[in-house]
Amino acid sequence: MSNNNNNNNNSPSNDSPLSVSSSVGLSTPGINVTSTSATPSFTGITASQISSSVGNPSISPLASFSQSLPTSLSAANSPLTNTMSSTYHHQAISTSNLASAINPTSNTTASSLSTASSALATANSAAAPTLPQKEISVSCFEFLYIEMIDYIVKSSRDKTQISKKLEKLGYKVGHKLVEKLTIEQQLLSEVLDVVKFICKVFWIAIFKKSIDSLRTNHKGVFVLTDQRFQWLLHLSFDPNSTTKDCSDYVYFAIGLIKGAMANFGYKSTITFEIQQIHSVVFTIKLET
Amino acid sequence: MIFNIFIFNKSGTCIYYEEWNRKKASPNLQEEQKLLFGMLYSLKSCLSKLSPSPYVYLIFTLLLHYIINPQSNSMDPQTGFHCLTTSTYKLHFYETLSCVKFIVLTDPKTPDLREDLKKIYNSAFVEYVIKNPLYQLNSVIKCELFITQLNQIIKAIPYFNNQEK
Repeated sequence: MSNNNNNNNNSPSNDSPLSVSSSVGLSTPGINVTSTSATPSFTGITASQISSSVGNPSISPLASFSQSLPTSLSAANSPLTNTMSSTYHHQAISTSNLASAINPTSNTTASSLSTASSALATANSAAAPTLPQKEISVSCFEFLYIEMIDYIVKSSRDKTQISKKLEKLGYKVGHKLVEKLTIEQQLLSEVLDVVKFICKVFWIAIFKKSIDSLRTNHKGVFVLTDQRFQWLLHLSFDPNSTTKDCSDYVYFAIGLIKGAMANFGYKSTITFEIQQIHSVVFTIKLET
Repeated sequence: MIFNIFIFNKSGTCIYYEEWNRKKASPNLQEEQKLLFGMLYSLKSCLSKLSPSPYVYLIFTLLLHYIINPQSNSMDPQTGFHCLTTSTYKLHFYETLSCVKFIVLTDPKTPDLREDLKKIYNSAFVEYVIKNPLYQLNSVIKCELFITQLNQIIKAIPYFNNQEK
């Protein structure tokens, strides 16, 4: 396991040889990969494609009114920007005629229901019985997270021990979390589906947002980018200080992904890179 | 015109200081910070000691405020001491329940900046200092994001850089 920490704004070292073609979907896997090419070509999978093909988690309470209508889910659940959401809508409409029939009604019911929250709750529970949303305070969790890392840093000898300890913790959490999240999940036959599940369902369960972009070379390497990584959002350095290292706050997430992958039966090595200050790029390499 | 800002923690240490339009540099900044904190501290304790009942404390602060600045009419009896005006500057004061004191000095014509001080507390201090994993409690604030955010809020105030007539 080698962790690639780079806090400067350098371009990622493992990113440059990869040629990225935009929006080639799941239906054409490996179409860009030629057997002779030394550098594997990556097919881009946009967030919308992740959302349209992976299962429907119950996510933000704001969007919960549309849970009874699976076709509009990808749009309503997306915590991304409005423009992104609207593309989701178009996609949903084009893929299914049913969707276009249902979508307008869902919007009207949503707007009429949003005025009365109690009516909303009853309508929602009547339409689709889902697991109740349990929420904890974000600040409270983050303060605990900070203290956890502080404790581990103080009780470790060196950097590698810190990373090992945090990864181990994250591994167990990720492993257990997958058990809970896959209760209503359909079978994930391919490894790409598993990674998409992590990008969408798993990440939303932890951070209330999905991974911003996923790229793969269809040969067991996946590059996941989170442009606003929650655990680094509030972090900033002394402008005069020389050491600008905040990688301690990412190891836990590495462990989470690793644990989740392991529970699906895939052994993996994960490296990461911090770009700018809040953007983290995870690279998952499957072990064969 | 806004001159400078002080943030004091519970024990009276100045954890942040920045100045913008100040023309006269302070001969001894640390001394100035100590004096300011001491003045505010004794003013508060003096008022509460004089008070015959817990309610009169607020009235005293209001009276004091009226004596110092008779033109002001934006008084909130719940919050007590707001500001102190002299002929050349006005001191805006906001203290949180956790005893963090935010003080901004402006020219005397600037209206009440209490809401802006609250905003600095809410959206800059809590978000980027308290939630910053690298910040040690009660140490001097050096977080980059806080400084940018604070400058943004201060410079967005319409009275930031208006020239005195």
